[in-house]
Amino acid sequence: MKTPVKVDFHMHTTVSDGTDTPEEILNRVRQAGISMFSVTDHDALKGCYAIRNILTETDPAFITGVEFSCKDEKGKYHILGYGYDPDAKSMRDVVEKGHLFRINKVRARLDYLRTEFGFAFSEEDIRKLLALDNPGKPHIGNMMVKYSYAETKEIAITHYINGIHFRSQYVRPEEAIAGILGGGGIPVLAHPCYGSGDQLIVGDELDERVKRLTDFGLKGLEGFYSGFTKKLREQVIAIADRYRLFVTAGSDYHGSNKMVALGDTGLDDVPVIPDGLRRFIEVFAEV
Amino acid sequence: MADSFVKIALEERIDSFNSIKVEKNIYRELDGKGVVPVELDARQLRYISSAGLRLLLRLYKSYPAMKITGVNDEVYHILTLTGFTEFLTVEKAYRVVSLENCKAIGRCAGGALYRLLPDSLLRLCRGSDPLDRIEHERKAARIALVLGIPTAISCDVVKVVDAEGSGVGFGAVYQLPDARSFSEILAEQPDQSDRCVSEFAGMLKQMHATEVPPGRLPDMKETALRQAALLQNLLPEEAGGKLLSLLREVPDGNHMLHGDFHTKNLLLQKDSVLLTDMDTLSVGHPVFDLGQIYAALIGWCESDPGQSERWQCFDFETGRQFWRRVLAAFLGTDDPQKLKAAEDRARIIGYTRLLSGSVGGIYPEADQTSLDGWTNALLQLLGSVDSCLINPFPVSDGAALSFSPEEAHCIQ
Repeated sequence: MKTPVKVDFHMHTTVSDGTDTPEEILNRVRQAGISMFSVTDHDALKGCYAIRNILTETDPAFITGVEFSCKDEKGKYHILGYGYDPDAKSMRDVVEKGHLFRINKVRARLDYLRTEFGFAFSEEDIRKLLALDNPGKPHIGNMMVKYSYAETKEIAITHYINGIHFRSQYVRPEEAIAGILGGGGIPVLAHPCYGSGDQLIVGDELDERVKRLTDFGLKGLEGFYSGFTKKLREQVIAIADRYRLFVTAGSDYHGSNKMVALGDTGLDDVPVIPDGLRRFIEVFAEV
Repeated sequence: MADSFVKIALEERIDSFNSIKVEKNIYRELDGKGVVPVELDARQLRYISSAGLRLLLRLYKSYPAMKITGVNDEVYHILTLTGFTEFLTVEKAYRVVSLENCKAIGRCAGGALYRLLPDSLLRLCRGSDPLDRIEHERKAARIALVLGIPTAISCDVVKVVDAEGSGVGFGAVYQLPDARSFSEILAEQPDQSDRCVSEFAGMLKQMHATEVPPGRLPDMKETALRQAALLQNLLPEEAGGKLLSLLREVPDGNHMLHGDFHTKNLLLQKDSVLLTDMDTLSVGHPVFDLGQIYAALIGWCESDPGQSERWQCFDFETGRQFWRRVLAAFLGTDDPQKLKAAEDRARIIGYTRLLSGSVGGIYPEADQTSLDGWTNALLQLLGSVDSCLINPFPVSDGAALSFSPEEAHCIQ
């Protein structure tokens, strides 16, 4: 299979931290000439339900997606899930567990801000905060600005919210992988060289990480990624080949929150699509 | 043009916490300017996470004429590891070292050697493209090290300034606690000369016994032929032709040659001998290294013996004795006739190198007396010597060279 094939299997809507609604992102996908895509909101499936309800027959091929934030003793991971049944119990269990951990942490932070600094919030605002799909530090920071407890969200986070480190409860990578597999989906490690966003994992460390997750049932690596250089991309694809894994391509588009263009995956830079990506596309082209 | 770059300063750190804000600020500064060349000034940047790397890549996609300057060691390492240095112009922030605080150990072609701190040596590169030369030397040193030659690899590159603070070049720094050059040892501890001879010849043999995979290093024979070509206007036609002919007859070989093997480039660190200054590392026949050693120890100083003190730190007679003893140890013979024959052949290579270096501007300080002396000596040798081949005789310590039968021409 030769390029050009325009696909993008990694993007976020307002269901998590993107700025485009599912309707808006579908319009952008149509305009960008993308032939196959997936919406991968953090720890949430609502975006996929929304997209499925508005797709028409002439629209690009759509694959259900999600990006789970995971952690274990070895570090943090983002695990993408593709092609799962959103109604599958195993998927809902992972989402609900992650959401519960997140809510517990928000509550703990609010308690800390109240007891340490005397920052109080109305019950109505707390209820709205906890009703969000992905409440976290930025949302608490915005609320503090609204109450004039801090001048900016950044100050709120660095000066107050980060004042204590909570022992986080996280979904483990094997739980996310098992949930995706249980829903009939394909678990894929997102941006493998970058961990959960700030790390740099290359060489033997990356190989060891992939091998460990493959033992849990991981089926693919995001080899084409908007933030990867040629060197990193080639390293990831080589590891995917070694473990006979799928290769996926994603931009990690977040709308105006990050300056990433939809469809920017690096796939345009290669003359021939790697075998792992070809196999991945074929799985869903046949559906 | 340097001033056409839009310069944007990066602050302390870029990570997932501030990368969106940093990116927005950068685009604000570039707003309305079109696709201009961009210089990111990273002198204040202490740390960059992968969120920062993604920012750089996005910016590069929008502004391909982008460079990042003043990068510290840690950030440079990350940019190298991730492949950014393969497509992005990245200029390191170099530590500045003043020669005021260094002790000169000796000069070498295109530079000089200094003791920087008690445990460091500084090899200064002057002239054009010093950074390229330093990088080339690092690569050559790694090749030698991988093939088993004990080699000092530079650990840092610094900008070198004089006592007034004016830039004089760039230097490679070698962390070598207690290391002393053979020049220093021969000058200060004459009783150590036996050991110096043995180690010097032993290292030469070890290197010449090392075979280099094809294509990794330049061929010294080609270099010598280029040097001889430079002398064709200087020598009578017949002599010039004979010189080329003698060099062409030297068998090709894949044995490692140093190319600038002399007493300042060999260090003794505790009980270990280390080679430095590997930028002329090549392959070919050992006669080329012997010729170069003669040039450094004897030829260079023949018309002005005081040069030896200034160049090698020891007197001319010490250099002459050292050369003869090294040659005997290397060839495994004390036979004066054989040594004389080998020396004459090495001298042809040595004088060719010195004369071509002077004609080509590598040794601008060579005076007319030296040029005349080298020319006359070379002409005399070309009239009496019919081969440039030297056979290293097998020696008892097992470090004998393994030449093909074609290469094994004995000295008669």
